[in-house]
Amino acid sequence: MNDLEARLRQAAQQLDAASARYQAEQPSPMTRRSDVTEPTNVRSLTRPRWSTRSVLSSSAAGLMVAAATLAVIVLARRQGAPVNETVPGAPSFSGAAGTTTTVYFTADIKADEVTSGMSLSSLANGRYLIDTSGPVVVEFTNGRATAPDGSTYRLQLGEIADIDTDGLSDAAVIVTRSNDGAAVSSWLLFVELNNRGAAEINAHTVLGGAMGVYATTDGQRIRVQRARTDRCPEAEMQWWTVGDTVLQPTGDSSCVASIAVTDSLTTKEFTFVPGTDVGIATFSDLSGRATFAASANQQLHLTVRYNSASRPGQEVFVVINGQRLGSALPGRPLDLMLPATGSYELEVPRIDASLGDRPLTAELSIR
Amino acid sequence: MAATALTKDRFRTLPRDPSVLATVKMIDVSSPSAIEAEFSAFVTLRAVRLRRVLCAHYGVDVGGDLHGEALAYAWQHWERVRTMANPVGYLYRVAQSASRPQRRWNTRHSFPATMPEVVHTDSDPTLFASLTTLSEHQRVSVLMVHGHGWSYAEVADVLGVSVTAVTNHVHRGLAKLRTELGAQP
Repeated sequence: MNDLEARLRQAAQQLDAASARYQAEQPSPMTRRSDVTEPTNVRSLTRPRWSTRSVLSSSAAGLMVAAATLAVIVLARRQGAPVNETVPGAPSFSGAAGTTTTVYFTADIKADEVTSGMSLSSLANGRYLIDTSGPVVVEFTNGRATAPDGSTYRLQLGEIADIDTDGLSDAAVIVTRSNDGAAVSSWLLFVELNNRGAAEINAHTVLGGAMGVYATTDGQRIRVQRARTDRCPEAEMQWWTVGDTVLQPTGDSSCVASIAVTDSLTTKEFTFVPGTDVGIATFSDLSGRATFAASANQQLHLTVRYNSASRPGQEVFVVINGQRLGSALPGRPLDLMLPATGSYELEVPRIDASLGDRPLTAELSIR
Repeated sequence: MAATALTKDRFRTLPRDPSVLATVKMIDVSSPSAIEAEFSAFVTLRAVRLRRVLCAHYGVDVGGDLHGEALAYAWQHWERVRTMANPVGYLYRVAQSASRPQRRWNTRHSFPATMPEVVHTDSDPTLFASLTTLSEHQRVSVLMVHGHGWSYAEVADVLGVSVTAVTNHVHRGLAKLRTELGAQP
């Protein structure tokens, strides 16, 4: 697959180069006359995904399917045929509080990227968030290390399996892949809520010396326990509170992690005053591009912060005429003397939610 | 009639994304040079995505023609297009409309190009041959996600389909490619 992916990248580059050459030979769109009429199939672009009509139609379809299923079950019962009454994929598991539950992750995500399974111990209760880019088979066993004896539940990206046996705490397990794509590592995150049920767990984790942001509300305590990975010892534990930034170098770069805890879940409204030379603009939920005008020799100061749990390394670039002048990261602001008068852009190169990318908030001041 | 008006109004509605709003607000629409600069920036920075999708869909030359047609349309209707939340997705539909005459005359869209000299496939002819066996949406999804590194959501935005649909296109497209190429999964 890696080979295929490399070939696809190369093919895409060839197509890109050829189309750029082709486009260069074409007249400018501003001097060209288009005879295209208004597209007639644009409603699907603008129609709300959950329109009344779609809900009604899907509900009607669902009712018909349910009725048909019921009819089949009734007929099967009358004929004495065995009926499997278990609900496949039901997101509930049982496990006695205090016992050790082992969770196996058999990740067949894109088969080439993640292949290994792993186990985590002491997961008797809580919510289990599987954050991968594909389906994951989660097998829960009680007290046995190797042979699954219980349910198997196939989770899709972003699904949460509720496992709440004693009602004391919530936990999230995040499985992700290492930077080299060869191994699966995972973090076990318990969020113990002072006011249980008042907040949702919103967690993200990364590997290899990067940073994860755990968005919580004030007053929560977070306990992060490093689960066993391919190269890391088991069960390192640390307590942090909201606002802490913790660096935890271990000597092994694959195990280094810095965890930032933030209570900043609110986003400010956009307040930039267009046309002014001096001002401060806040770009909330910046996930693509935002434009601002500035003059040559003005001093730009750009600070960036995450809006919620985010992948580290998400940068905001300052761009003019397609050229990147510099970038800012959360915790690493950018100061820049602008070289020219014109329209500048803030650019977040790519938002890939499956990798943990989230929109950023950028605060820009120009003097 | 009412439905058509509603559709147009929705496209006219300013997006909620503050970053896009910023783009809209900061341009002085009374200045022709500012509008031209804004459109040029759009062509340089954002329409590249449209070009990539169209080339993956229709091939380099036909896709390039449709891209030019869509941009010409965008320039003529820039007052409206510039305020759209998803102008690239909209222009993709414009390009699809522009491709109708060719479909009407039963012109077969050839990938990677109708004229072989337009794109050189010498380095990996088998891959390009295999890509032609995919459906258009599969090919676009596979090339955008694995060739250009787009997210599924970005592809879904442009194609006007759900993320789940893109996921299916990618997975089925890759499976078919592996079969065609005899690659190990």
